[in-house]
Amino acid sequence: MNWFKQLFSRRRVYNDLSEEIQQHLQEKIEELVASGMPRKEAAAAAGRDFGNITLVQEDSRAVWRRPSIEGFFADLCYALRTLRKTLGFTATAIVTLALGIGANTSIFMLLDAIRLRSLPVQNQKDLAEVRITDSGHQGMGLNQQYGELTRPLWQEIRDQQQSFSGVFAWSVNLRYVGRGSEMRHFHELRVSGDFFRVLGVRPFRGRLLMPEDEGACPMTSAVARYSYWQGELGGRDLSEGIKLVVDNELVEIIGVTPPELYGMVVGEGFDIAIPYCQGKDELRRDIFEVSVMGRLKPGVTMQRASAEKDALSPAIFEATIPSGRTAHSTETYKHFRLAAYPASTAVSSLRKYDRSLFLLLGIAGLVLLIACTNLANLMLARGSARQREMAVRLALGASRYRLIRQLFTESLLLAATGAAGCCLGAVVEPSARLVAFDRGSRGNSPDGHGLACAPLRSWRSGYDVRRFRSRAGAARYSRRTHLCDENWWPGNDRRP
Amino acid sequence: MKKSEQRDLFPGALEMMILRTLKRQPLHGYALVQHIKRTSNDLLQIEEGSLYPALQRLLKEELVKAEWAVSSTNRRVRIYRLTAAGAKHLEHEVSRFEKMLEGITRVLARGES
Repeated sequence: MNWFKQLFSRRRVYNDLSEEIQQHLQEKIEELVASGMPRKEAAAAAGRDFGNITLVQEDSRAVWRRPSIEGFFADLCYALRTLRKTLGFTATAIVTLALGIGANTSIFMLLDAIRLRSLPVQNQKDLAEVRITDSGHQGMGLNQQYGELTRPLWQEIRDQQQSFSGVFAWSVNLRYVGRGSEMRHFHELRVSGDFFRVLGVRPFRGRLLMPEDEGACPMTSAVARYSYWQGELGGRDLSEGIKLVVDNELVEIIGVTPPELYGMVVGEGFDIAIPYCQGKDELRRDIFEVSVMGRLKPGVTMQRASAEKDALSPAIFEATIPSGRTAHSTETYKHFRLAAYPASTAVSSLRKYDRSLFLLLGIAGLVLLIACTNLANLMLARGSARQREMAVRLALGASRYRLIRQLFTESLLLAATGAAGCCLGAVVEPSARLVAFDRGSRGNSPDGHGLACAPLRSWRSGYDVRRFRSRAGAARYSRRTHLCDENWWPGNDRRP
Repeated sequence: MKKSEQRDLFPGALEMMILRTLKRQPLHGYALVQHIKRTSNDLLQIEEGSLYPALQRLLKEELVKAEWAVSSTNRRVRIYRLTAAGAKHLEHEVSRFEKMLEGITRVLARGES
């Protein structure tokens, strides 16, 4: 790091140099005076012999300089000074840029979380979801969020399908852990025994659920998500035996999932995964509560898997007809068809706004483009106002390249400040909203909020005010929380 | 006028002379330039100031090192000293220069005959 050291010892080097040159001249003058020359003449002679002092100093300093880097810093300082002089212009430019960039980034983040980012599991491309085709099961039985099929349907699919190397079912619920005043809700991920094996998730601690864990109710073993284990459970050693009371049943945490696994739903992580259990009664045939996914066998295409599901459909639906329905309803049910769909990205209730999102991204891009055009116009106007300055600099010997570089540096500074402003907004905004939205009302809010929340939900965690209030004391308040309240989600009808 | 005189010294010549002088004994800038002038019988007409950029270059490449001291005339001076790398560099440069000089001399001698 020699040049690094040089960069900081520069001032000393320059001072040494100046002093050295002064001493040199003094010595020369004194020598000449000693040989009988008047002091005034001696000084002139010494200067003559030495040459151009300023030039010598310049040349000597230039040895230590890195012209490109120092030129850039000089440009930057100058740019800062000029921008400070025209505050109005600077503020306009920065705000325009920050808004343009901010709008684009947030829309893109939303799109990325919902549409582009894959589930953090092995070979996501092979994952497929089995759903009823067309409009699905709408108007038939009870629908839970993200529920596509009934559990009897899931069992039929599991037993009859051939094209998947493994299948699993999952559903999400809000349930309660603890007793009495200690009671608090958690996000449950109900899974079939094969869930983690088919996804290819390795345990972070302990072991994950296996097919053997599925059995008769009540379930006694569960797996905690990394963040829940770290937060609510305090990262305790599993060998101590962590037992939780879930709806009055004792459940033991046998393992922890790796940190990167957030769950199956975008922005809505789970806390504890519990396997499905089989109660004494027969499973309800009219509750559409599970999502069924599978991993394609090697060499099997999505089309083939879909065709197979289609062929199996009549028998499967025949075997699972809900009782007590009208003839028309039963007939409709029997004519449902199953199909396989790619499921490499996580599920989201915003998925249905897919095309609007792309459109929104396009519009945001256009807005940024307009912002840039505006800015270019502003710069142009400013350029003509700065003609004089440029002329002076050219006259003083600056090259065209140097002036162009100066202008580029200014633009770069503006753009960087705009981006920084955008970042600042992203940091300040959540806390501002925390204040603004915590006004008591917890009902369904317009979809717009969900849209605004989603990107933040996907990458930030903050303090959940509601949780803070509902608990007996701040001491028990844990930091594992969601920034956006679940109830804000459009179409979400669950209540804590 | 001065410029053309300076151009007569090929690049690196001044550095070579400085290194050679310092090899004999450590000196400060003024003494260095006086020594070079004296030894060359004032044939080279070196501008005294041109010594300093050359010294800075040598310092940067760590061929010489410098430290402040007080001279016999009770003056604060910066004494330059040859480093091991400098000695090696000098040897290399001198042998290169001698080859060059020999080549030039031969060509000039051939031209005369």
